[in-house]
Amino acid sequence: MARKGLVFELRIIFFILIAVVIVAGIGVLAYRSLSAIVSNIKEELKPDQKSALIKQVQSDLSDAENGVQTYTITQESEYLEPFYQAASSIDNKVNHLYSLSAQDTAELAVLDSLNYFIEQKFIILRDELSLQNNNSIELELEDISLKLQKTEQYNELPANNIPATTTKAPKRKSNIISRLFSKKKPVTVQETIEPPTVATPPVHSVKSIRKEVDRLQELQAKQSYALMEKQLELSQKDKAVMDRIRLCFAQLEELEKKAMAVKTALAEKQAREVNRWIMTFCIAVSLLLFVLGIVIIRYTRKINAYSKALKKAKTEAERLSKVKESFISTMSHEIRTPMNAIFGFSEQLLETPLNDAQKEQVEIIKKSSDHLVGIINDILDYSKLGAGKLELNIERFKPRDIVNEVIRMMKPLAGKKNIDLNTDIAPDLPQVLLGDPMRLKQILINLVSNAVKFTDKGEVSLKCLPILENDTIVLVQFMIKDTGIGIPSSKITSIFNEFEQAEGDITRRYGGTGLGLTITQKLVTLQGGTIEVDSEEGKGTMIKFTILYKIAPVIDEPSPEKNEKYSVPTDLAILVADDEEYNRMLMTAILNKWGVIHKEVSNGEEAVRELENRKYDVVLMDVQMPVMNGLQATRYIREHPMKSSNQKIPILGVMASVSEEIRRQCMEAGMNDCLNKPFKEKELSEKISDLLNKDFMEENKTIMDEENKTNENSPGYDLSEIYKVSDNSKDFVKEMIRLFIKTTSEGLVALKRGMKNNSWEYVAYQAHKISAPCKHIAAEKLYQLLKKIEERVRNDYSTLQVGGLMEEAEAEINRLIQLLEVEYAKIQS
Amino acid sequence: MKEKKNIKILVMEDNEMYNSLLTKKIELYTKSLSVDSEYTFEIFSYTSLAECMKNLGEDIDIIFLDYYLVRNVTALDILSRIKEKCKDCKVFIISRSRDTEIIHKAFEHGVDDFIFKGKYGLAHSCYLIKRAIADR
Repeated sequence: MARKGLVFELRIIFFILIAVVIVAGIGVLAYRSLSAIVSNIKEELKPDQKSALIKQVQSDLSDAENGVQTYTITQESEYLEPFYQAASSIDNKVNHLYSLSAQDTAELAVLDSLNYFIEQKFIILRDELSLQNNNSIELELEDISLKLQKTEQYNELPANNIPATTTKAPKRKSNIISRLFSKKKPVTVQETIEPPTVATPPVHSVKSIRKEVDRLQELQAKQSYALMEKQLELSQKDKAVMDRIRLCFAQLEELEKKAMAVKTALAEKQAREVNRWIMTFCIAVSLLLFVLGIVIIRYTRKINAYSKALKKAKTEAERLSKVKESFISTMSHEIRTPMNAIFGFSEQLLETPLNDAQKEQVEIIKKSSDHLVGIINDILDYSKLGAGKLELNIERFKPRDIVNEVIRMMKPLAGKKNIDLNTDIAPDLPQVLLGDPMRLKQILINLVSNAVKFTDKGEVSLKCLPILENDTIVLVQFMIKDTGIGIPSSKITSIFNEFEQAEGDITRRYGGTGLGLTITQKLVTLQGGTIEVDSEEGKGTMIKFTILYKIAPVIDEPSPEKNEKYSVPTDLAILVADDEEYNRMLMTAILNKWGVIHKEVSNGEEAVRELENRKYDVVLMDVQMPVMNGLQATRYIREHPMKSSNQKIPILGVMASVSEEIRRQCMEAGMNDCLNKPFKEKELSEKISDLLNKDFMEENKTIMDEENKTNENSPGYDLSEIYKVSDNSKDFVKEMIRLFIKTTSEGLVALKRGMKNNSWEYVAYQAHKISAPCKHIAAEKLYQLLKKIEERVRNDYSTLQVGGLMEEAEAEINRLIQLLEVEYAKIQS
Repeated sequence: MKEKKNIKILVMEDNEMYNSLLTKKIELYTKSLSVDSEYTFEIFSYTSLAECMKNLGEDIDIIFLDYYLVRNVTALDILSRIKEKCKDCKVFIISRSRDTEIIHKAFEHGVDDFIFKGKYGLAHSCYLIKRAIADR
């Protein structure tokens, strides 16, 4: 069972460990994945450096272009500033872009082309700028033409004016157009402005100049046409470059978007993955927990089934043990009842005159029955010990007395076999111990009788010594040693087993049930001791046992002799109720011998009827009787009014069973004590005298209640006892009345004197003296008053508290004296 | 004809009434007992301790002795003096008290039995006479 439990525990622990590992795995995985996703999101939330750079590059480019255009228009070099700046910064930015997309080959390719086109763009811009710088010739030319115009104004103003203006007009016009379209087609516009570039100021003569000019103009026209061509070319180139650049940007953006999409997809994938793992783990854990639950439920069910089976087995075992006990007690009852007759009558028979042969025979009968009773007791003890129902009766006892008694009991047997029987009691053994003397005696009798039984010559010794002792407890060792047949070493361990004796034929040779040592061992264990055997075959045996006792103080002797010294008063009326005729006859024999009046009835109902009609002092009530058993009869007697005080009559239950249960039932029914059959004459006399004495004590306790009830209509005294004692002698009764009046009135005077002198001792003494005769005329009220006075003054050492009681007592005495005087006069007449 | 053995019984009880009662009871009982037996009985009854001690003979067989004799003197106090005088006598203490301590003390002092003055006191006394005779 324990191993199974362990396996189960291991299994549970294993499953739980797996579950814990999986849950921990889930935790770690979820944490890691989530933090990865979070960092991704964080990164994506950051403004995209690449696209920002691309934008910057774009704006730089447009800045540079604008700068160049503005410069073309204004010719102010400060407008070139953005161009230079852009030129310098754009490189850095492009480099930065390279570094950002170091791993992406597609991007790198785009960037390469972007870089190339940006360079181209700048070359174009530079070319434009350089074109612009060539225009300084034109400025000169213009200067010259201005001068020329001035001079022409002197000469033929109107004639030359027109071509000049016409040549200029398109220039201006183109300037205006360039202004208008500067953003869209800056290069074209600039080119339109540029045609009048080449000029040489010939100042010689107007004609030559004009010629020159014309030539120049022609040249210029040619040049400007070429320029225009170039500009057109440039602008076409520029457009192409710009288109490419834009394409690059678009490509870059496209790439960026793609990268983004890839990243998102990755993150999604990751998240999905994590979800999947978590799902898997969760399912695994759930499965595990499910399995765990099933395992636990199955285990619990099994355990429940086991415990049910165990409970069932236990109740069955208890029932069986009850059956066994009741069987044994029934059997012992059945055996004891006839044994009682055999034992009792042989005891009685021995006291009658017999011839020697008869005497011997009767003695054998008595001994055999004694032996049989012993065996029955053994069996009963054994069954009680087995059922754990044997209780120790702890009381004060003198261990020396017990040992000596056992030796005394064994002396005759030992003497017969010619064996020495020695005792050695250590002088430091405490005088009085607390324990169960009867059980100690039983153990000792068992062991010593065994020793004597198995010893044919030599000696048996009983040693008794304290081996461990402090102020309150003592471990006493008893050692029984013999020089007998011994026990073979192979049997030593089994001699304490039930029904086992060293050899099979021992029962035949030496008798006994084979229970003795088992009971002895169990009794020793029950008293907290140990027992050990040491034996050598043919040389002898030594049995040692120890019992732990409490040490009792030596003061206040509980005298076990007390019971022996009490004796049964004659003059009693005893009712004997028993259905077995020979038991009744035995009782009759004993009671007749004592000279005690008695009546026999054969069942409880007859007993009750008898008690309803006649006064008795004691009832000896057999427990098992037909019609109405002893218990029922006792209950009936206690619950119904009987003749005189029979309702409270002491009832001694007589039973063949020694079961504690029946004993308890007897006491519950209202019996005062129990006597087990078979009993010895002495036991009966002890029980009866104990009962009578007990009864007397209890009577004193309850008497007040009864007094209060009867006081109203009874005179408070009863002379019947005196009549009875004196055999109805009137003279004696008169004398008694006279004496009562005399002693009580004298006593009253003495009491009063004592009260006056506050001499409590005297008052107590006098109260005590007067109270005794009250009992005999049944003057209960006065008796109780006097008793109270005595008790109180003895307790208080003072007479101060009894004034009221004294007055009551005086009144009662006076009342009684008055009544008794009347009675006296009546008797006289 | 065999000579009958004379049994001498002494009653020392200072309460006159109880003394009379007990004496009467014993008288009647011994009378019935002496019929057909080898014994005759003689009863001495005293209410005064001094008188009792003065007349106490060696040949008394049974003594019934009240426990509280006179103030502060109990039966146990004079028990040794009684036993000195008549060594083989049985001494029975009579008392109303049921104090177990007193009873134990009495037995320790060597009294032969203890009688309670009560319902069964007189009957008990008779039984003790019978037993004392049987023990002889």
